[in-house]
Amino acid sequence: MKSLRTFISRLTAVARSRERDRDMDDEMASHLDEAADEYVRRGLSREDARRAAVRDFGGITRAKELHRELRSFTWADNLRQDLQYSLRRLVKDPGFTLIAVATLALGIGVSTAIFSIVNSVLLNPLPYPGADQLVAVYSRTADAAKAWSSYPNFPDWARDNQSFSDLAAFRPDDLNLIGLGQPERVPVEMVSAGFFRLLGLQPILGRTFVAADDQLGATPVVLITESFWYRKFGASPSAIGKTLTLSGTSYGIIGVVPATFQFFARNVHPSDVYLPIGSWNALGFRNRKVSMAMDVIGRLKPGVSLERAIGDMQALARGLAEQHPASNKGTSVTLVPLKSDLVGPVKPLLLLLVIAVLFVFLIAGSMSPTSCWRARAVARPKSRFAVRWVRAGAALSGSF
Amino acid sequence: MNPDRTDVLHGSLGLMVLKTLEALGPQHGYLIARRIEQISGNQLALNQGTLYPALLKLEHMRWISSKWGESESGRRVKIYALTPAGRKQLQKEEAQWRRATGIVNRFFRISEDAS
Repeated sequence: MKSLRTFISRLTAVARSRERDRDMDDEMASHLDEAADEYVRRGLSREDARRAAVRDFGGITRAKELHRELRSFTWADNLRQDLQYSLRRLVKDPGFTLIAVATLALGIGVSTAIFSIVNSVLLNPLPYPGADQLVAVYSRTADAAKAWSSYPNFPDWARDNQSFSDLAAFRPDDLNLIGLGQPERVPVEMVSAGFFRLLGLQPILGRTFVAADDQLGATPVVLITESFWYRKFGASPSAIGKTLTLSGTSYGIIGVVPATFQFFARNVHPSDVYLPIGSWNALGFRNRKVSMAMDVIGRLKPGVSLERAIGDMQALARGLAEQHPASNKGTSVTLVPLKSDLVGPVKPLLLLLVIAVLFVFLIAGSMSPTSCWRARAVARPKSRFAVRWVRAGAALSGSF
Repeated sequence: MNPDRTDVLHGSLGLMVLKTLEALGPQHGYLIARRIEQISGNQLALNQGTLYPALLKLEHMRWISSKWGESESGRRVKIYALTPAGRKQLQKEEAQWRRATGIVNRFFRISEDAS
C-alpha cells in the first residue's frame, strides 16, 4: 500500500508542485507570524518584531529556493536511481534486456497497428459526403443473406425504386494491358454510370461516366487513377483521349480519378482503371440466373429511412420474382448501411482489441519490466532497489 | 553574523530536529527552531529558514511525518512528528555521534596531557 502511495505521489509530484509551493509559503508565513508574536510579547513594537523575525529566519527567498530545489531534486534523484538500477540490470544481462526490449517493442508495435486500424475504421467515417445515406444492397437467396446480384436485375432496381437518389453496381476484374511499356495485369473496377456521382467524386481531369457510356455497344471508355496516370503518362494532361488496350479492347481515356479517392466496400480491390460495367458483355453476365461477383450500393434520398427503403426494395424483388420466376423466385434483398456493413461485424471485435491493446500496453510498458525485475530481484534480495521494485511490482499488480 | 556563535554543524541539524521531536513530541516548525536555539543556549547561529529544507529532507527519508494543524495561537501550521523509522534512525545516529565525538575527545585529551 505504501509503495503504491509512493508510486502515485511520484506520478503526481509534478502536478502537485504548485500546491506544495503554496503549502511552503503558508508554513513559512505562519513561522514568521509566530516569531513576531514572541518578539511582541518580549516588548518589541509590531514592526520591529516583524523585522526581527525576518532576520532570524535569514533569507526567506533562499529558504524557499532550497526547499523547492530539494523537492525537485529528490524526485529526479529517485528517478535517476531507478533508471541507473535498470540500466545496470540491462547491461549485466543481455538476455533479459532482449526480452524486455522485445516485449516493449511488441507492445508498442501491436498498439500502433491496432490504433491505426481503429482510427481508420471506427473513428473516421467513410470518406464521402453524406456517408450516412450510403447503403449496401445485396441479393438475399435461400442460401445467403448477402449474395451477389445478377446484373439484369440492377437496371430494374435502379429504374423502379422509390428510395434511392442513386444506385450503383460494381465488380472487380483483372485485365491484360499491352502497348504501354511492359505488358501487365491491371486491376480494374467495373462500375455503373452513377457510381462516381453517388460517391460525390470529381475527377481531377476529364469527366466521369455518363449513361451513354454504360451500355452495350457504347464507345469503350475508361477512367484511370492518378497513380496510374503518373506511372504511365507522366501526369500529362494529354493522356485524355489516348487509348488503353485492355485484354484486346481499345478504350479511350476520358478522365483521371484523384488518388485521394478510395472506395470501401465488399468486393473491391485497389484498382488502376475503371470501366463502365454496362458495356461488358461476358458470357452469362446478362443472364438473370447468373451473378458474377457484382455488388450494389445506393444513396438514400433525403428523409427516406432505411426501413422504408427495405420495404420498397423487397416489394420490387417480389415483383421481379413474379415476372421472372425461373431466375428470381425466392430471391429478395438485404439492405445494410454501408458503414455498419463494413465495420459492423468487426466493431465489437475492434473494441475488444482496443481494450486488449491497452492491457498489452500496460503489461509491456510497466508490468512486464517490473514483474521481471520483481522476479529477478527475489534472486538478489540484498539490493535496496530490488526491494523497491518488488514493492512497486506488487503495488502495480495490486492496482490493476 | 555573530562570530561568537558556532555555525550549525553540517549534518547535525537533522539530528537535532529528530531529538527535539523525540523529547517534545509533535511540534510545528517555529517551536522546533526555538527549542534548538534554546537548548544550544543561543550558541547556534541557526538561520531558522534552513530548518525547512532540513525538515523536508527528513520527511523524504520517512523519519518524520507532517500534517496540517493549529498552533497555540490558532494559526494554520504544519506539525511534524517522529515516525517509528525516525526513532530507530535517531538511536543509530545518536550512537554514531557519541562514538565519533568520543574518539575526537580522546584525541583532545591526549594532546592536553602532552602539553
